[in-house]
Amino acid sequence: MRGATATISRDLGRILEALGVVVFASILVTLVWREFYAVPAMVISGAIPLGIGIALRRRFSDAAQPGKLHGMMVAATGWAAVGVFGSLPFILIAWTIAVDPAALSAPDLTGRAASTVAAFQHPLNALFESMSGFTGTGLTMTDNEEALPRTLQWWRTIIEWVGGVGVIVLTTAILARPGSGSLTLYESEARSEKIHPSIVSTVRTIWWIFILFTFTSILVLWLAGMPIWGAINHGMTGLATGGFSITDNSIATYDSALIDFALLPVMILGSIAFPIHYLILSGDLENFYTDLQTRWMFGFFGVGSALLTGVVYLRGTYDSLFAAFRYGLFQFVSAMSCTGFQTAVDSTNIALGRWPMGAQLTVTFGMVVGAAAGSTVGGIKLIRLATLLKGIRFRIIDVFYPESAVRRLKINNRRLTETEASQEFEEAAIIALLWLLFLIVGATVLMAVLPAGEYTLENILFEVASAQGNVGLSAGITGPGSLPTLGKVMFLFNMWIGRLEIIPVVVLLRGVLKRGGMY
Amino acid sequence: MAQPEWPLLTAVRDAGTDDPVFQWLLLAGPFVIGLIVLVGRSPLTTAIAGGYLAMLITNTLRNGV
Repeated sequence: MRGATATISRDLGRILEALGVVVFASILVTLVWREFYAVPAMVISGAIPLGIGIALRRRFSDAAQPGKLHGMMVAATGWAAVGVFGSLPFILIAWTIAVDPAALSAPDLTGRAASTVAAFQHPLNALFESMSGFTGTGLTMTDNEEALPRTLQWWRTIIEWVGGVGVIVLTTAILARPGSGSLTLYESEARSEKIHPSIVSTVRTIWWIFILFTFTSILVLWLAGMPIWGAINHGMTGLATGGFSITDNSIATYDSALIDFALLPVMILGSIAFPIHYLILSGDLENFYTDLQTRWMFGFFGVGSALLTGVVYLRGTYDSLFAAFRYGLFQFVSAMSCTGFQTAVDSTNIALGRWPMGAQLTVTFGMVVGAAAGSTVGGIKLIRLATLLKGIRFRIIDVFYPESAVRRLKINNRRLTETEASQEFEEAAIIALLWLLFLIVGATVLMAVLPAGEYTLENILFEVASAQGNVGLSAGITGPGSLPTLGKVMFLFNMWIGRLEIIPVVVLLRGVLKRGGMY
Repeated sequence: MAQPEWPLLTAVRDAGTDDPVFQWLLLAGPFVIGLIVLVGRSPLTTAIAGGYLAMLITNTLRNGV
């Protein structure tokens, strides 16, 4: 176990180093916006993970390369650690504004702006925001995003952008050398796709695609009429399917159908697996329909949006068919892509939490399923749904064939042997089952801690599915004051397991409990 | 035509597809956005941003045909 601790510590150190670099790079934004009072807070926030990271990496530099068990533990501890250390800018800037140490000329905030920033003086709120950002969830402890210092607006954006691809993918791209156990770590972060034989080349290509599409997304939104600061932030969080906004009412603030429609391709780009992007950019356009996940994704987007449009129109939520289509299409794509941008809010129309039950459950279904594995989305993911459905069909039809018949299960143009089919079916079933199990646990905890009668069951299921699916749409439950402490802790856990697809976290917990003699 | 070699930029450029248009778009992206930040919304910046997107889409389709 000592060897395992060394390996995990060394790799955790590398992740913290990468986090420190991201914090220090973000100080540029602080300087550009002339928020000089925030510089000390950012320097401290970067120095702590960087210092600990360097110390861990040097202390355990001769540790063994990670095996599968180590890889899962590194992923689970690494994501928890970036959540914890990523909360430092929120806490330190909030306290800098509150006490203005050393006369840093911090702004004197009043009203909602003051309460919005003050919420981050509480470490649990800051940790929630950080974990929500890194996991690409987008649920927030912020009351009014517009009132946040630009540094914190940017910090929320950059952690979603990095988290969308993955902190281990970032670390591997920057710090890893070929053959340094990178594949094991890469696979433990809910990724299995390879674009090149080398995993280091693969992650660099993933970043290449992601950066190119980030520029594209920013320009699309700017051309649609969004101011450039909004376009930069929403382009990054939209592509990362994170959903943090810099405006008070998410995308509804703009109240522009053109911006709503311009965000659809951004969210869709984030929902397609990176290897498919690479093939399409290389000229293999047929992957739009030959790849099972991409084909199913467009199918689900189409059917789900049509269904949602029908429900909200026929139930009278919206007066015109165009309004029903505009909000139904946007909210279903936002849900299933696990982005969490919201256009249906009370101030401009009817909030999601007050949509008809059928509409809320349709959105919930989208959040639970998610889009393509290998992209930036959360949820169970389409390939697992396909494996489950095709596997069940295969088993049932198998009964009608003679015992001597040799049959192969075909998934996404791959013909699987009996053993391979059983393995993939088993994995998909286990993750889907655990996903639903933790959904029920989260809903039960929420029902216990929320005031009786204030929220409906569909509201609660919606919110927990949103947290665990790393979506970020809210029925109005999540907030610094509205969500009790135990609910926040539960959601932290839901977001963490949702991002890592549960198994690595369960493995880590088992390891910890076993070491503590409790298992 | 041989492309210029710069230590960091070459590594970034070479990480993606071999297509020089995409490589150029990747490297030009920050400058286009920087120009918009500095100049704001104008016919020139709108044309440049539109041209950037048009080039990306056209090149993707051209590669596929």
